[in-house]
Amino acid sequence: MAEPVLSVQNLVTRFHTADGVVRAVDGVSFDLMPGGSLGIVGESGCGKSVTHLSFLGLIPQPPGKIEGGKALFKGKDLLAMKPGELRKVRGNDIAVIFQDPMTSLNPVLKISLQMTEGMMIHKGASRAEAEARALELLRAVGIPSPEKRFHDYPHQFSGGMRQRVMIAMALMCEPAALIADEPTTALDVTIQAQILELIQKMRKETGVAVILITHDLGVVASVCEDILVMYAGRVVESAATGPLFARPLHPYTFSLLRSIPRLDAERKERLFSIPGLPPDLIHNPPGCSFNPRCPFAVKRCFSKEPPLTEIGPGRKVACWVDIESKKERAT
Amino acid sequence: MLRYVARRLLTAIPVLWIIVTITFFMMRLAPGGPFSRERVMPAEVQKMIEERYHLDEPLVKQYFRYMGNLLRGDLGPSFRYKDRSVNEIIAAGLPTTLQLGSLALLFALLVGIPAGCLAAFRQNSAVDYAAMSFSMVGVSVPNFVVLSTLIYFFAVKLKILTVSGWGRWDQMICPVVALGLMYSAYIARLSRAGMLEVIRQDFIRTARAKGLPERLVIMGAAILTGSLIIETISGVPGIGREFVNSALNRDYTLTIGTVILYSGFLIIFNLAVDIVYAFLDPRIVYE
Repeated sequence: MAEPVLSVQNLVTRFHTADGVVRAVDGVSFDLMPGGSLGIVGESGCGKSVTHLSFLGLIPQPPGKIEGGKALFKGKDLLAMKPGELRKVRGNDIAVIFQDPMTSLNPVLKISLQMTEGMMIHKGASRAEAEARALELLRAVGIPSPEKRFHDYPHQFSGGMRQRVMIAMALMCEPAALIADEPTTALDVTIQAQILELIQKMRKETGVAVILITHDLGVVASVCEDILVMYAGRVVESAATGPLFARPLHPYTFSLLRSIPRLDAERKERLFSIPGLPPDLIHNPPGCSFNPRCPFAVKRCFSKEPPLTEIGPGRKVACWVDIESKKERAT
Repeated sequence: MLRYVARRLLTAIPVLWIIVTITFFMMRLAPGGPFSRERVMPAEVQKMIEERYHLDEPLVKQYFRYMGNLLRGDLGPSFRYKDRSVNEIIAAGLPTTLQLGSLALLFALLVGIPAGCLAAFRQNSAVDYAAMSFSMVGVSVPNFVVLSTLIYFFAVKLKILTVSGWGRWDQMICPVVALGLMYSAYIARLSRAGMLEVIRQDFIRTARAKGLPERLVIMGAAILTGSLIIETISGVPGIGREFVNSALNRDYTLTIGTVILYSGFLIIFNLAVDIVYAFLDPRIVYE
């Protein structure tokens, strides 16, 4: 089996705030295979974004602090790198597309400059080389007549076009991994589908491995091969996309899937929603963090945190209960 | 852009006219006049003076006489300084005031912007607290106190600067610093707030995620901060304010003259600021 491009192992990130210690990421592990696509799913505030911001060195420190784990990129630990070394990885080997293309581009700089500066710094490319590459990518992401738009400012583009520019910009240095942090959340539904298709297309054409972070299961279903479900800073389930949708093993995943409105269902009942709110990450309840909202919880769930356990090929879940038989798992 | 500037300059004309009119009548409404003295003047003398300055005419007639002269660029004779016209007084004082004002502004920018940016980059550090405490003092202490203190130490005690006068650098340092200090304090606080706002924006994170060196990340932020700072500079009343203050002694024509001058400055500065905005922030377009 191939070596993963990126292997995150037991990452722990905490924020030391005036109110207490926020356990934003609490022992997250995953592998991203070359050319693979991994979806990270979870509610707002479950640590999806902090995970990648941590190993890229983009969380504000202090109050943030990475307190454990490794993030091996091509065998080298990103967390052990000096800021200068990590900077050479960012944008060059691992690129990021952020959520809101309206605010993620600098409003006072031309697209041409914002796209080319990274390549000129990382690859030592000349302006002409970088501009040629940028134009090629703009064409590839579907910006009509890029030569005309190249020297425009971000506000002269629509939201969807700006996200296309962001994607093209991320691919400038031919990164091995692309992290798309909620790339479609700020866009219209029709544009969302186009952007997801574009990410798929670019993945196939360039072989870049993609991590897609989203709170929308529909988005990962169409794009990702593997899925990681996060809750309260932890991974609660990981599986290949097909099996996860067919047979969710964690009560949280199960409940999430039940809360998706279906076009083919009769509208007799109210749409299911998970009762309660996610815990604040300062005062986690003892035991499993999902216990206050879990319909399957047993006594043990309130005292002991379930570890993420492999229970089948490529399937991991962190739960004491087998939700199909509603019995406690043997350990 | 040219059309925009032309339109702004044209709209300045009615604005100035309104300012002149209001000032003219307000001055006359205020009790007392340029020749009211504790010592009672003989009635004939009073009458002669009033005739000479047309103060005996109906107010409306005086107003039209003044406006007529104004259109020809004549601000009238000074009531206080005999044999000197308002034009002469302004022409004599303006260069110095302009010099003082622009040097003070330059000082304020050179001190305020770096101090504010440094404080923002090292937020909540000793540097930040020092810069902000200093600027709090700068804002709070009136500039005449600063000026007297500076003169006392550097001119009287240490004798390295000159107590008064204008023209040589050793005469200029004290007034320039005294006037500029308060604005540098304002500008420091503003650049700090502006920079803090900008460096928290998403596009700064994007710049970091691209692996840009911190120096370039900050440059990207600085342009936007610049346009925030420009805004306060337009409010710096350094130039011309002394004029207004010194002229409020019922010298009708001199007062109106300085008011016109000051209003003109304000109008031009505001226009200049709006134009600079358009250069700094491409989202702003005038038509």
